[in-house]
Amino acid sequence: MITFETAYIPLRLKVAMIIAIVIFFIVVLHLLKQQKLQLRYTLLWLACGVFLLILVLFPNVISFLGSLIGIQTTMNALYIFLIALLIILCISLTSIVSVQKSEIQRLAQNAALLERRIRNLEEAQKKDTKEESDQNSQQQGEQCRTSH
Amino acid sequence: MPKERKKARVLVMIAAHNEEGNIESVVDDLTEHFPEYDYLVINDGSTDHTGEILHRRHYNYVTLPINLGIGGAIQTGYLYAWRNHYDIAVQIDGDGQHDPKEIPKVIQPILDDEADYVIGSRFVNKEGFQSTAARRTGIRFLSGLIHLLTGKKIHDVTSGFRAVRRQSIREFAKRYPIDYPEPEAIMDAVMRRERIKEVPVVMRERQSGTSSIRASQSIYYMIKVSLDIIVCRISYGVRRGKRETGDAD
Repeated sequence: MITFETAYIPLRLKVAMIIAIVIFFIVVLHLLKQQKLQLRYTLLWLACGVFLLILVLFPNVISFLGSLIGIQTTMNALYIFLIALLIILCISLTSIVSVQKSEIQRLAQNAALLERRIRNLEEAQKKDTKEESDQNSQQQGEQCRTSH
Repeated sequence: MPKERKKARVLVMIAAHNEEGNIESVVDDLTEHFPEYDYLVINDGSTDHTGEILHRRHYNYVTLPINLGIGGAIQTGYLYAWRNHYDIAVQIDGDGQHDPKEIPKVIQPILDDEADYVIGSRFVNKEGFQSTAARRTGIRFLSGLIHLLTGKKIHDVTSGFRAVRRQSIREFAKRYPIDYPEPEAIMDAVMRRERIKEVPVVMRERQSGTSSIRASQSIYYMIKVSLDIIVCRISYGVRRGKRETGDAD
């Protein structure tokens, strides 16, 4: 039975982590405000920030989760959780990109079909005006011949 | 011929996603009672026969090649309204919940220059379809949140029955909230110091098809919309706080 040491984060590290997380929130909020981030994709980041904050403020949570997966030391647990969060974020990003790819594909196909319709319209229009001007010159030719 | 006073050009925007059962009655109802209003149906990537119906009946419509959601669809309407120089844009739902006969009510405050952004509200006079109890609780919560953040009390924050004036059309064409936009659009209007008015309208129950917000998604919806509203408020600058002078409340 692997027992987890009593979770302990040195005070200096705790302070540093809290400052880092606060800066993280400020940056995310700033980007949201400038609309460089969309909220529906940012939710996961915010949730991760909140989760990390909880871990730092309540080390017991680290002990509990760590013992569940068989880790012994606080710092190891923190690293593993951070890596897990990053993996989740990456998968989420990959999913977003995949959806966008299929949307882009659909837009490209739509644009291609539109181009064909416009091209056909232009050719029909050109044909009409060509027929018109052919008719006109034909009539002019006839007028010339009849008047002589 | 005497010169007529220039009449306000009105565009009624109808966003429709998979509304094959409702769209004909909505548009016919509108054109029958108000032929003087222009309208545009925004087909938001419908996968059912909505597109065919729109084409067959020769309605005035645009078809979005991908589904953008109500936010993107309505913004498309605002883009169209702006580019075609409309004076007033009215939003109504494609599911038949909004009775076209109520449109003059939401337009009137704009014509009278009393308001810039008018919301057709179910809850002012509490007539007509009042939605489910669960939804009403949620709506009341969002209403309270907006009240807390802006000082403006709006009762029916999720109503899609809206009328906006030309300046708003331009702003919304540039930027319109994406997911579940109704409450956040109010926040935008308030922060832009627009005069907001709620008028009572009678809504009907959705006639066919299903709503786009399912009950199981409600909690997620509430959290997300609340966050959206808060972030929107923050994005207008922390210092503003309560609105400054010059509002006609």
